[in-house]
Amino acid sequence: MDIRLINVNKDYRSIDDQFLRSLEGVNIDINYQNYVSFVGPSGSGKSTLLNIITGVLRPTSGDVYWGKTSLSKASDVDVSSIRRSKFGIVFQDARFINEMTVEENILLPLVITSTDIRQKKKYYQTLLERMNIVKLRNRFPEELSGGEKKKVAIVRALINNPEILVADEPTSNLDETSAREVFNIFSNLNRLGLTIVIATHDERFGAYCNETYWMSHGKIDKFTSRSSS
Amino acid sequence: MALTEERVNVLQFLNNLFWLNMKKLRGSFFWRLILVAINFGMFYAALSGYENRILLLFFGITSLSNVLMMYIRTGAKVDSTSLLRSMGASRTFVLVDNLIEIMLEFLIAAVIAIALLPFFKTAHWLFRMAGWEFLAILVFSPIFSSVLLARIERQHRKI
Repeated sequence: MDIRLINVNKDYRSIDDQFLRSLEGVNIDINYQNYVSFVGPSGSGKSTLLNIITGVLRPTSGDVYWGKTSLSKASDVDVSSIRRSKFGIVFQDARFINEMTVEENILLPLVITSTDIRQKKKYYQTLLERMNIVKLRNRFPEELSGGEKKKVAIVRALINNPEILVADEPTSNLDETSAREVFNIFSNLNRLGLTIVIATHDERFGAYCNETYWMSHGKIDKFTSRSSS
Repeated sequence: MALTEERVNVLQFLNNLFWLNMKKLRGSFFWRLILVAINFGMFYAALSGYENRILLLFFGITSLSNVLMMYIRTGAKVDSTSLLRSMGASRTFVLVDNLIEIMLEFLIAAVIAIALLPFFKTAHWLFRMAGWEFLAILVFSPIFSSVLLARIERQHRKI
């Protein structure tokens, strides 16, 4: 599934009822099986952009297309349905339900998609082994380090076999080694055919991606592509 | 891409929701214990042969406590609901999930009370109260969940 953003603007309302423009005139094409990053400082609109790409937020104006589906015309039921079947999302703060174990948190997307959990156990086991986190399965989220949380969040994002993996600041709060490990995981997943879309403030990691959009103040300043450079 | 209508297997949907709530049961055990105690207290009173007036008063207080606790608990689920929504959970999923979660304690309390039924005299009060409580949960839980969903959506529009 290709993703296209056409002239997307996003305004937020502040506590004192002022409108703040978070994204301005954003035009983007994300092709199937590509590896794309949005690089920019904190507050440049990256997270808002990812939320709009995944349909968590709707743009104030402009439109988003998932394949031929226009998000401005799709109902909440359709948007939710496509999101849970096509997207795997790694949140910036690696959100979990704290009263559930790592295993249960990973299986959560299967509950949402009404999938038989027993049928996915083998795939789940394979993912844990690939990420080298088998020993973490019965722990609770607060017992994990930052790097372990990211890996668990990646496995959770992959459990539904998504077409597109979206990750917001996947290396935040990680040491250099763990950060490189996370990006190597993404590169490998992309080689296996997954579309990867990430937002990061760390310019070094733009080098891992095929296409990079450089952002500041809610706008795309520059676009670089490996094939064109 | 044409929108593919997901064929939701209702049994699998409910089965998974039950699985999820059995797992959550462990975490919010304290809250659930209080709710079981409140409901069981109500059933106990119903079965102890008090005057109708006192029973009505007691019923009113426990019903109000149940609704209040339902409101507080549902309102405290901003983070987990936001997470579920971001992962693609529909509004219906959230409504049914919260309803099942709340209904579980009520059913546990009801089962305990019914098991003790032979020891008490005014069994008709038990069924009357249980029926009203059941209806209250059925009506108020979706309302509180809708308020929660609206709150999360409002948060997304603000900064």
